[in-house]
Amino acid sequence: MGIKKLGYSALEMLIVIGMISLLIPAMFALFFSNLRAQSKVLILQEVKRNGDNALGAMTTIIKQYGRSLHSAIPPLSSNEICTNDNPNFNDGRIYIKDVNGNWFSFYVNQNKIASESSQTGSVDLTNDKVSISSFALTCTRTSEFSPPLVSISFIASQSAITDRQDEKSTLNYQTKVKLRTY
Amino acid sequence: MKHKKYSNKQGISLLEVIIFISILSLIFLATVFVTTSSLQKAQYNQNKIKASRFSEELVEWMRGEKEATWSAFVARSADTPGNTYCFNSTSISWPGIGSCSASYGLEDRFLRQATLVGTGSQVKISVIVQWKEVRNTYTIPVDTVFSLWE
Repeated sequence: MGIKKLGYSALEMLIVIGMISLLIPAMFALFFSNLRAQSKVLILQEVKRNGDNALGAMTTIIKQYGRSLHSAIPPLSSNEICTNDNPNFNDGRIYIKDVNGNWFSFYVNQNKIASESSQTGSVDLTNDKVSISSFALTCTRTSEFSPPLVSISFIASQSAITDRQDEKSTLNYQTKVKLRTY
Repeated sequence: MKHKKYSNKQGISLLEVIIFISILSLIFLATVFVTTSSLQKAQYNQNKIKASRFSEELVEWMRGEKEATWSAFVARSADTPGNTYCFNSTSISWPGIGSCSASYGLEDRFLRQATLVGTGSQVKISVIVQWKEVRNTYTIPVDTVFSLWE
């Protein structure tokens, strides 16, 4: 009578390998979806941090130091905008004169919001990870006795180009400020 | 005793197999549990960041409305219990008076409504952003007061 069979049969091996081949992809899928979710949170956080910072900085500076609005530099009374004669301005860059007669301005430079002033030069308010679009700084004057109203709006989104719509982090920002020291 | 070395004792015993499989399945279960709870937390964090942005966005927009014309702004408000508005659209504009009544229409996930209380020179604004997740409802409340300073 022959030798008793040792080891595993082909069927046993097939079942074991089959189970492993089901489990391993499932584990990897969980792991990578987790990783992606975490990175999305990080990106969203970064976009929000940058947007909040830029909006906060702009509103505070305009509110505290803005005295009059101009369409060109140097800020003269001839190029002043949002006055009684010229109550609306939404076409181009606004230069804001401060209480000391110096000027500052906000504009988009390579998808980043930059703050430029006659004293300190240009400083970026957002970083490379976030790209700014639809940036608009406009002003209106509602009545003869009220100070000019500056509207700020922009869209902050992540810089990395992704085709997946659900991975895109985009946040809208908009507010209006009145010059206090007018 | 000639056949002893070919007896059944050579392979792995049933007990050993059971112990091995139970340890392995415990490890798998733990991994799955940790991963899914981490995924849920990530989802919650993401929604929370968005919800707080939505509430801040509405407050900033309200501030803009208030700065533009106080009289028009204060006309939107009323004495206690105040007027409630539902801002479930991404581009903000004044809707008709009325609460969202459990419609999560903002990005198909969030509910955003504001209650304006007060007439005269001070208006109290309570913004809430709410969303549902798994079986919980989360709320981000933001309260602020606008007053006429001119």
